[in-house]
Amino acid sequence: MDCPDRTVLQAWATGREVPADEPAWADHLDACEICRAAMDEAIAATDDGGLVRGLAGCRREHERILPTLRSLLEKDFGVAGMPDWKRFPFLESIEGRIVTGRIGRLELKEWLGAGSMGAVFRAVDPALEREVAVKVLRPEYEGHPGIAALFLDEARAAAGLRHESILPIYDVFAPGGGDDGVAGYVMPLVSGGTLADRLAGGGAFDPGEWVRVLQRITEALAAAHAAGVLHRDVKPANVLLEGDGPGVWLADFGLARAAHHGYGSDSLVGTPGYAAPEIVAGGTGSVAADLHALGKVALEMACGRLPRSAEEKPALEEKSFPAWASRWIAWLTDPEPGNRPASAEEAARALVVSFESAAATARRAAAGRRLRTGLAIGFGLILATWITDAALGWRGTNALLRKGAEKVSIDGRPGTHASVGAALAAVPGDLAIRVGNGEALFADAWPDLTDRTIEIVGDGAVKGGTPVAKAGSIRVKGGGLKLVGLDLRPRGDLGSLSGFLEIENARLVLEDCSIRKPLQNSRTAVTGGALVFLSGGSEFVATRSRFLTDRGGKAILAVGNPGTETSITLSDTGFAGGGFLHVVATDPAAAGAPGTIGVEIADSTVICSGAFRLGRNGAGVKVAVRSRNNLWQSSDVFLSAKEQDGGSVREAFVFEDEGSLLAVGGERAVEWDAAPAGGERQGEGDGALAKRDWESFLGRQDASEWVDWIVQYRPGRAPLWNNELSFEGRGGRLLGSMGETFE
Amino acid sequence: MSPALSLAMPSPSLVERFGNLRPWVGRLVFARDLPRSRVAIPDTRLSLLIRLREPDDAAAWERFVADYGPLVYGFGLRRGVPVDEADDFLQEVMLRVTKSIGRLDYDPSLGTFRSWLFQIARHVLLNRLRHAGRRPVLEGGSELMRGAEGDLGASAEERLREEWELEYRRQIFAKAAERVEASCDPGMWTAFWRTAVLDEEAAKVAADLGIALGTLYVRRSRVLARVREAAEMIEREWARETGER
Repeated sequence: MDCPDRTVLQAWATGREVPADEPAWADHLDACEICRAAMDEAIAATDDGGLVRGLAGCRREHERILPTLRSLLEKDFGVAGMPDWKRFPFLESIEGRIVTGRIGRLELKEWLGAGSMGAVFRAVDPALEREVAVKVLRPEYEGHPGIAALFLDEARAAAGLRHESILPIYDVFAPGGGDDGVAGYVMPLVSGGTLADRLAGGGAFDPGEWVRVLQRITEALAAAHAAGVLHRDVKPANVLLEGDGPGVWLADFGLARAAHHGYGSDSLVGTPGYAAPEIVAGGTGSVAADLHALGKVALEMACGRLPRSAEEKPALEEKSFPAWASRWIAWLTDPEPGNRPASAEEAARALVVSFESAAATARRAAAGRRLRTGLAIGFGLILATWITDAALGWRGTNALLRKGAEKVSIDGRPGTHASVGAALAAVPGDLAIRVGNGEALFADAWPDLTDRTIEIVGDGAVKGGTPVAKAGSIRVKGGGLKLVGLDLRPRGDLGSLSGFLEIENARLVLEDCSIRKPLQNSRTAVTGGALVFLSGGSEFVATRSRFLTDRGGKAILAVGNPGTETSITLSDTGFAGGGFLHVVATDPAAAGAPGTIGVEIADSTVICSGAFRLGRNGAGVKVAVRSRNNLWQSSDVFLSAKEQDGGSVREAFVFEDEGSLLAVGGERAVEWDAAPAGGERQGEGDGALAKRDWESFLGRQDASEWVDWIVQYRPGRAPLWNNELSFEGRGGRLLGSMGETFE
Repeated sequence: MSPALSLAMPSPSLVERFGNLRPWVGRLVFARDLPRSRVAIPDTRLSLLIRLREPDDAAAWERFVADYGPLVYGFGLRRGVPVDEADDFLQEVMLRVTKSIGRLDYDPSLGTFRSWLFQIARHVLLNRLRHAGRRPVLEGGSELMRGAEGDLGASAEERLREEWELEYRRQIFAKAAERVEASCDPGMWTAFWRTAVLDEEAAKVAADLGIALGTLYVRRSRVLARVREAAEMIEREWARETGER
């Protein structure tokens, strides 16, 4: 047999093509040293990049970094290890958390977690075309039919419960029931986490959310008790919170009883830390024991964690929780079962009544004092937060709110006022106002607000829309204004030194709001005014809000009056339009320390033609900006500062950042109007964003260390407020989006 | 007003809040730093990339770490990060990914996911080397001069990127080898591993395995063919998962 063609040998050796008569050639290879050498040579020659030879090294590296990868996953990414899935006979394969397998008609897709009794899987029910969660008794209990029976008894009892805050049970399957011999039950798939996750991640609850969630759990418990079902293991891990909504569900009824049976009589029903003393002493479950566990959950929600020992005092006081809340918790967790509430219903009622009367008392007390000091403003706003959050939680039960939602309701009572302006004019003092949808509610001009603490909450749930407020300037002097869930549309032109929300020596809080100044048709239109105008040492906090101005407008105009401090805190907020922050001083000649303006901005997007402008009459004002994880995009100069009398603007402006993306399209990143002594004019560009501009501006050697990316933005034809903007970066194009269009 | 209430809404003066600007990291808690309580329900229809934006999608992160961890590690190691710092390098890059992935939209039509990852790895690499006064090692052992600003020259930049691509191929190939080994007859695998990878003498391996030399060569070629095939498949899988076409 002749040697095969060289090209055949090469293709074969490198695994690219197997010759048709392979067995015959095997014999030839055995005998032919030349062909073997040719094949060896072919492998070596075509091993591009040492892929084959490098396998051994790669394997060693993989083994070396396994612990690092594991710790990354567990410590930094929070991924726990899998349970011993091989003991689940119904699983066919598993890769990571993705599983295949089948129980009855359910197709298992993913392992979601495991508790003491069961493991939970995400599954698809093909018949009903829905995703469900399946809880299956842990394989450890396989040889204990008594446990499976208890497990199923309790699941069946829970399946009979109907309450909006009790996780329903769709189906129960039993061993020998034709469902592959597994015990388990089917529940809805909740897109959220448990209360335990929430506590681990976010710490303590604020009072409003605390009341809202607890009320739901307590009412769920009351419904179960009324149906004769004890929970026996109330704890944060058994409370589910909806990811994107207000849903709260109590889950896993009665499972502890089965677990108890399995572990023997001397162990606990429930979970250490939550179990009542009489249970620890060997007692069985009861209404009082469920309430004790609920009280512990309430304590943990208020403090962020349970006290580590009996001696440790709960830090309720530090968390601004009022005395009645401490008393309520102490009542439920009383060591003597007889001293606890007689029922969950009683506990729920006490929660609601205490909360409402405390809020009313505090309101009256607050109205008696004038809220001149910052502390008092803070107090008023805590109160306002409480009222809002609690009111939201009351949606399900408070018929008053439902009825009043279409109108202007004050302090939870439906009002007869035709508009917010009318209500503000008619009712003096501090108000918590809820409004439904409808522009008419804002038809009247608002009176100037002086030394009042006003909270206005738009009920976006009503008629499915955000209330639109078309209004002229709103002036607040002293006190505080909090706006939640409103779409504000400034009406009329704003002068260059004025604003839509004019805040003087007061506090402004915006949550989930948008303020849009309608776009001027003319490209040259300059209206100049600001959406928020701060003076006299005001405080401005915005969360999850959007600001849009026209080309000439600015988001914030701050006056650094001598001797005042202005504070601006923005998070998860977006801005598109002309200028972001303009700073001026009304009277640079005035005596006293220059005013200071502090800005903290995080997780936000700013798309503008010029981010910061220190006006010529801003002399003496000091501006400090802390930026983190933002997208800054400025089509022109990022910072423009005019000459100041007797001081360098560089000293007047301090900018700190971490992790933002900076994109500037103009020729200069930073423009100091006058050259500092002995220095050159900064930012002379050649049309490209010069990195040295940034480095000089930031006083650092390496600007790229400071932000994740600095890219050049090339404004195309698209107007600034277009939905999406693209950036040319070194890593390819990156997209930033406001997620909002200008109308 | 009770003092307890006043604590809830601290209004420290600006001097307190801004007087000492550096170091300020850690004093503030930003919403993005808080772990989100939302647990995503992973959906296999979604690409890995989209799923990674959800920090609690455990399965996606496991995949990401398992697939791309070795790539980053190997890249750092071969480009001048000392062995005892390579772990640290890997962690830094991975944590940067967690910080960055949710923030910026990534458009697969404009560049690959791995080129995005490359930017992060490259940035961390150059930073570390700069601090240590070292230069990145490029293929062939040569060290290229960097500009005063810490930029690599354009050709060096291009070569660094090529190195990254090569590392990517290496890792895919290694992944493919693992996959084939798991489903392969051990005798087949040993024939391949010892001759092609460990470069042992063919005659000795054949003798150890008790097979003819010809058979050994046939086995080696077959396994290699399977590894190549698996590598192509994995490359397609990864590309699909990261939304590439």
